[in-house]
Amino acid sequence: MTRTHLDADELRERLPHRPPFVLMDGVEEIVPGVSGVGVKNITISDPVFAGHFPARAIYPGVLMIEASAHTCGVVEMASMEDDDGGTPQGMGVLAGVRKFSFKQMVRPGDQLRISVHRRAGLGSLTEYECVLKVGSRVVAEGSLALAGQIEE
Amino acid sequence: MSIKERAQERFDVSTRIRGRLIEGLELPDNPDLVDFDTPLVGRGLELDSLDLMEVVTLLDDDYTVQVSDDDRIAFGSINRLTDRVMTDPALIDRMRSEQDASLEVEPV
Repeated sequence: MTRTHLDADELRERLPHRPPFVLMDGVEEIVPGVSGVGVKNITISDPVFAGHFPARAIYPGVLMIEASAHTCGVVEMASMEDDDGGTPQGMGVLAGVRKFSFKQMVRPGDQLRISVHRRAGLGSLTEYECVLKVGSRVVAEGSLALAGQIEE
Repeated sequence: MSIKERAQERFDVSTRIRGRLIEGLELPDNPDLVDFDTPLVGRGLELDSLDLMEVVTLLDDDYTVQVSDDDRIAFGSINRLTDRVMTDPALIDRMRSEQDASLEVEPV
C-alpha cells in the first residue's frame, strides 16, 4: 500500500538523488499523483551557507525550486509504485519552471513546508502548483513541470 | 438562440481564449501574427509541449474543460480550441442548468 508519509531515511531510499543533493527531510500528506507536502529544515550547518552568503545566511531560491521538484517527484513516483507499494516503476525529471516568485527570505532556523498540487497533465508532462511556507507566511510560489519517465 | 447570438457567443469564446493565450504565453498582441486560425504548433506559433500544458491549464481554469492527450487536434488553432470548449459535454450541461436557473421566475 502507498505510504502517505515518508521520513528522511525512506526518502533516501526512494529519491534517485544522493547527498549533498537530497534536499528534503520528509514528505507528508502524499496523495499519489495529486498532492503532497514536503518538509525541509533549514540549518546553518548546510554547506550552501558558506557561500550564500558568508556574512548573511539566506537559503537560495534555486534550491527552493529544486526542493519543490523533489516534492513533486515523490508525489509523482508514488503514482508509479507497483501494487505492493514497492519500488517505483519510474521517476519524474524537471522539465519546466514557470512564474516562480520569492516573497520573503528563508534563513537558518526556518522550517520550509512545500505544498504541491497537480494542476494539469499532457502526455508525459505534469504541471504542479507549488506554495512554499514558513509558518503561515508564503515565502515563494510558482509552478513546475515534471516529465515522467517509466523505467524499462 | 439565434444564429447571430450563436456567432457572437463563439466570437466571444475565441476572443477570450486568444486573450488568455497572449497573456499566459506572452505572445505578441498582433492580429496579423495571432489570429483565430494561426497554427499553434509547428509552423505558426511553434508552441512547445510546456506551452501546450499551459493552454490545458488555461482552459481548465476558465471553462473547467479538461483537454487530454487524446484531444491533440484541439491544439490546431484558437478556432479548434473554441470547438473543443463549445462542444464539451460537461460545459454544455452546466450552461444549460445555468440558463434554466436564470429562467426560473422568483415569486413576487
